[in-house]
Amino acid sequence: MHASNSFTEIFLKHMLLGLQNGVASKNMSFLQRKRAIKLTADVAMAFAKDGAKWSHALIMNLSKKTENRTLLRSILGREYERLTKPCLSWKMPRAKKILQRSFKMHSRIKKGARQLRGVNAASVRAGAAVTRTKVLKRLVPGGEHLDDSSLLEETLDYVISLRAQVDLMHLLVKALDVPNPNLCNKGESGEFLF
Amino acid sequence: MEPTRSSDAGSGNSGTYTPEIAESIRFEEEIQSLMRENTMHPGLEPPPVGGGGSSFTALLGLPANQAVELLHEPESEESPAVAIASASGGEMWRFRLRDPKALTLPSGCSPTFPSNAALVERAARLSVFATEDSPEAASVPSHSGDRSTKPKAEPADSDSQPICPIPGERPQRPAKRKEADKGNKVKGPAKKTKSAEEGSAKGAEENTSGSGEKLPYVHVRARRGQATDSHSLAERARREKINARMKLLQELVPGCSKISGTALVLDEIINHVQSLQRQVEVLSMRLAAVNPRIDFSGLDSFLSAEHRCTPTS
Repeated sequence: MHASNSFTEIFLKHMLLGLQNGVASKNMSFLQRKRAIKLTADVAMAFAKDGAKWSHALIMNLSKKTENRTLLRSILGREYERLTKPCLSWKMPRAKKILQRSFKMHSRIKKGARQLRGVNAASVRAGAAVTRTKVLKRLVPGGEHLDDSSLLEETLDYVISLRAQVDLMHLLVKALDVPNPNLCNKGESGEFLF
Repeated sequence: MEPTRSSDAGSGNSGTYTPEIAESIRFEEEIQSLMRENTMHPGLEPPPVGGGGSSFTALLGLPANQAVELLHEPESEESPAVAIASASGGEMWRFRLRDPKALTLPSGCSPTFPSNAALVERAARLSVFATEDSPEAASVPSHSGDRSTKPKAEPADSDSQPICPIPGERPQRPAKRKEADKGNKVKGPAKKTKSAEEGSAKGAEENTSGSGEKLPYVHVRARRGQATDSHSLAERARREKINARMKLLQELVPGCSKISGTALVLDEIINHVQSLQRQVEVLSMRLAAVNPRIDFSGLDSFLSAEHRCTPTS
């Protein structure tokens, strides 16, 4: 059952790898541990879902900071070079950018003409959606360059993966938090978890 | 066997249900029975030694199942299966269902079934006449599972599928059902037509031909009394795309289906994303606070052993 879910399996596997390399048996402060754990969780989530734009964007954002690089390298292994290549950083082809720019100009012209009639309900509604879209673009990793429909698609994907991440971490906490004196032994920890 | 069953259903039912809805209900029952068969499998695994009934796989099994159902949905936005289901009302859908069953049952592949179940439920839910809520629709936020190549591909390949554009997304389900209606919008793999009339033959042809392809053209039919200007058509197509995705998001985010209006729905989505991110932070704090002496090195051997033991997962 657990092995048949490839997303969850890859996620879990890489998360444990990362935890093992980055966290276990190192003297770190509490905040450092928390940051490392969050990092491995995010990287594992992004790596397990490689078909989405946000995953690449997330990994690239995380690799920009130098202190994360060793941990990233240990988790991603071979894929590290491929995923952190900045060739996709300019994610939109030129044509799409030009189209977007012209579309925004066009809508701005139209709204300028409409302003003469005063504020009407439609423009208010449109304005509200636009501001919220901007907020959403900031929330979703890599969302700034996307247009509306693909932004919604990416948020859908992202929400699902976030939910899976929360579930998985919740289960990890539940699994590891048992006051079991034998938890630290090699063999028994494996048996206990599975 | 199947077609006769469906025709029996069609003739045997009273006038309240159309044959299509009976078939869709039958699909759901079939899928549910398949799921029940499938969920019996984890029960066959031996319980862990020390586990007090709450083994990790069991804990992980249920949410992971749902997670993968949810996950399978956005990976392939096109659904020939849904298209086929809605269009022909079911024979082809059943046929396709038998196919994955034959292909994947030996390997014990469970993700395809729940995702197909969710797919069927979603198709049933979104259909015009389906008023009853299937019991699983509540638990599985009716996201369709595998679409284009999933039922035939291994689950391992599922993650590498690119997200294809969404031309077939809100599929050909209206074609047959809404024939009586005037305004019918059909998306399929053809160039834009500006006809304002309803062509059922054309609709049927599109449905069967538009099953498995991801073409960049979106077939949009103009409604009666609407402008057939190319600009407005393009805008309308774009708006329909966005509305379709908003609907999916609405179904995903809890409590959003009652809200009407784009801005409020977007508000809810933003709140949900923020709350999920905050939950991740809190959970990572809890994980950090877990006994720091935990030795993770034992898990490594376990993981490699597990990979070796499971045959074709």
